[in-house]
Amino acid sequence: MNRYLPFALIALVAAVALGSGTAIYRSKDARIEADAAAAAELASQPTNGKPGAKAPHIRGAAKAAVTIEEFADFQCPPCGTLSGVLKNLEKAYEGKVRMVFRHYPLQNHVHAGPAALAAEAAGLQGKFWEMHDLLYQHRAAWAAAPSLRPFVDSYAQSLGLDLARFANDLEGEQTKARVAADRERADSLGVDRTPSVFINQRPIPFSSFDEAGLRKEIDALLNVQTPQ
Amino acid sequence: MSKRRNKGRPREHQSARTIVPEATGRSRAHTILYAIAMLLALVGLADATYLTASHLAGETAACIAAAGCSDVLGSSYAKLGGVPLAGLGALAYFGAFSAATLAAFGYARARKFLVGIVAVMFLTTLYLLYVMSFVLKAYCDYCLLSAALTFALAGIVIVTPPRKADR
Repeated sequence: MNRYLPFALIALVAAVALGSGTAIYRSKDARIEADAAAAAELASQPTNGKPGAKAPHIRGAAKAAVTIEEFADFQCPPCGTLSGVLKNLEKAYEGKVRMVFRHYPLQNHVHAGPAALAAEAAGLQGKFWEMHDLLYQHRAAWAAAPSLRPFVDSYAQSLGLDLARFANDLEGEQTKARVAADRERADSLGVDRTPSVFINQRPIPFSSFDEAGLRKEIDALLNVQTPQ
Repeated sequence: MSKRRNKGRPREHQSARTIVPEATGRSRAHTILYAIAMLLALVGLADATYLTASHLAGETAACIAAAGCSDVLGSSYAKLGGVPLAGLGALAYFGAFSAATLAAFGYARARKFLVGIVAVMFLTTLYLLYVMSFVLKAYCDYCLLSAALTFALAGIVIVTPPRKADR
């Protein structure tokens, strides 16, 4: 009996680990789906949430059939990953999709709030997306630094912005108001994490945040078959 | 009674183990140490299984307002060629558990396997601690727990000397 005991123990542990792992996965998956469903219900209400910042940051065709609205935090690593995915999709679906960026800086990310303001300050000089790209591109460097300011100053300089105006806008009411308006919209839609994505007002589950998952959602709206 | 336990220990063991082949050379100290290693590996396996399930469910694909593990587990360092590191961790802990179990039951070669796997886990943990401290500057409780378990496992392996049969 002793001879088989160690192997029985190992097999038992393997079975328990696999079983509980699957159970945890299922319960988490169900909760994420339930969250998405709850958010969908909120979004389906006639108001469609609060409007958010006026003249939101839009990339892509103005009259596209598909609108991808993203709530993001520049310091959140998955947001950086998603921004790359969205860029690829924008190229692949040129003229068919429109990207809307909304701020949702999380409190536990010390540089996220200032980064959102920096993007808005650049936006006041017509360089929002350029600053958006630079912030994500160099996220690892500034996220770990004690202060964000020298980084955004250098990005502003490389974008050829009026630096005095940029510095002024970083502290200005206009930039703060835009970020706060996006936050209001996020709260009204039940957003509580980043990135959160809505396609034509419908919330997308987190498990679909890769290129294949989002393509499927877009293709369904465009009524085309997703190539296997 | 206590005198006998203290002084006559090696002899007592030898005589008590007459039914076990000499080559396996099991002793109570070894069995206890390997049993502790089994327990540590089990806790590690539970930790890594939980993280793998969370990862696969897509939970780490987002940052949540309450500080969580997403900064660490959502980073590019949490994957190795598309495979979640937590999954590899779960496999490593399972391997360590299996080796410790077999070693506890006196399988001589299991110790070598245990030493090898714990050494790899130890080095990986050092690297991941470096990444958390200096690259991401973010920590994750589950990852720190795993680091502590791996260090404890390494400690156990170091203080458990090879038995005659293992050499």
